[in-house]
Amino acid sequence: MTVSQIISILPLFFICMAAVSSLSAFRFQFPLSLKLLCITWVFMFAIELVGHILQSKGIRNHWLYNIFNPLFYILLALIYKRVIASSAVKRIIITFFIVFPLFIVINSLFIQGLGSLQTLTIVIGGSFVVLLSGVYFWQLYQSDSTEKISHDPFFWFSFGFVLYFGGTVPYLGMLNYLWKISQEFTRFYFVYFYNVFSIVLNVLVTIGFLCRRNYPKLP
Amino acid sequence: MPQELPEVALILIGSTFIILILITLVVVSLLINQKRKFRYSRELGDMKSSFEKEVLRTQLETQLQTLAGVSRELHDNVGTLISMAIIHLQMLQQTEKADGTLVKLNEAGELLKESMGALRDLSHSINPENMDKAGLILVLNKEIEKMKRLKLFAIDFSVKGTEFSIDAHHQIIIFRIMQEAFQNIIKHSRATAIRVQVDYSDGKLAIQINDNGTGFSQSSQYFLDSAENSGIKNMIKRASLIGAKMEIHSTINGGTTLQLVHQAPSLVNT
Repeated sequence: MTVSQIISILPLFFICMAAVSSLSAFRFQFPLSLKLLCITWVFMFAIELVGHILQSKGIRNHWLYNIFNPLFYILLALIYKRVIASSAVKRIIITFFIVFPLFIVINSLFIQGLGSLQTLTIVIGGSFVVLLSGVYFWQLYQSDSTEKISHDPFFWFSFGFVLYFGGTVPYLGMLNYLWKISQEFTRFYFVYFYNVFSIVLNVLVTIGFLCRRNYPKLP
Repeated sequence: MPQELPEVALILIGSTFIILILITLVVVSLLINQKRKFRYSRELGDMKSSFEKEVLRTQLETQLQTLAGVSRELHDNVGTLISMAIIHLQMLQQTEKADGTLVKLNEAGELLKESMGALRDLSHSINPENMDKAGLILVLNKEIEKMKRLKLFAIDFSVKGTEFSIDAHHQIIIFRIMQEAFQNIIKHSRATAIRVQVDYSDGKLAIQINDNGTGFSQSSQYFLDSAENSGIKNMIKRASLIGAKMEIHSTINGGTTLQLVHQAPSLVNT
């Protein structure tokens, strides 16, 4: 097994670790937003596993991510809608729920199709999650709460999302173009950059799920 | 290799690097901001605590001055008036011969002498200077004797070690805490037995009051955190004012234990 093969498999272990740690959301009295994120992560682990199996068998897996990615962004937006206090941002998220699926349909039918990876979906969805993470950081910045932010799971999740999407959206957005001009560089970047961002995201998500266990009971 | 690749790779890696730097800056500024917020909140808490202590100290000083004034007034004014009334009655007893009137005059004289005794006790007990002279054990003993006269409880009072001198103000505060504790027992506990233990050892004054009453479920911290200004909260706050530590342990139907520990004067810095 080569180094690049090991690095390719590594993110799967970290996603598994994050998914397993996220299951604690059901053991303790975690709020609904964390339970939703847990479901998202378990779902993501299943998708990544299938993606890896397909890839190892030489079968194209773009269609799988074309289905999963939009669902992932919508789920993350739904989770942020529960934790962001600003009513203006909540309205933007609701608009996103309407506009984004419409865009995916238009993109699938008229722009990028289903055969290749829908990079436009990744760019719009990823940028939207980065925006929501930024809004959450601003909410933390303005908050009067004296609780340590290191005990706030959404600080870690948002940190992970801005790092992951901030680091991978430029690459994924150009993926089809890069593939055309140099498959070697595309693979190199995927193995040594994309996978590292994926590992960092999953480590931060694991920390987020384990950083706190006592939540006030909701009425 | 296509010509545009180095340029594209540079743009991609460069933009990713810039994004990462920006994210790091955002997170670092968030952490710095929170540190600042913590410091501000701690300073605010300290200021509030010292303000509360100052208010309590002022209240206590005013209360002590008032008590000293009332005590002097009782002793010098009311006491003198009763003494004069007793002298007048004694003079009347010498001149009046009718049997029925003499008996009544004797009774009135006895009542006035009793009032004079009670007034003197009251004057002594509320005067901080007298308390300082008598010492904590003596005033506590008197308080316990008063409670014994109620015939509601079996009281066991014991002192261990040799009494050492305590700052007069601290002594008064400790005594007032004890008085409040006794009042609570009388009013709420439904106890039949009380044990008061005073221990002067290891440079500490430790007082423990146990009763076998109905008790309660709340902890000392509950009273401290409570928004209401309860008697127990005041007792704990008063104790902290003189650097003493007071704790109350109680269980429903399991009685109540009050513990107060005060360091020797040389160790206290209030």
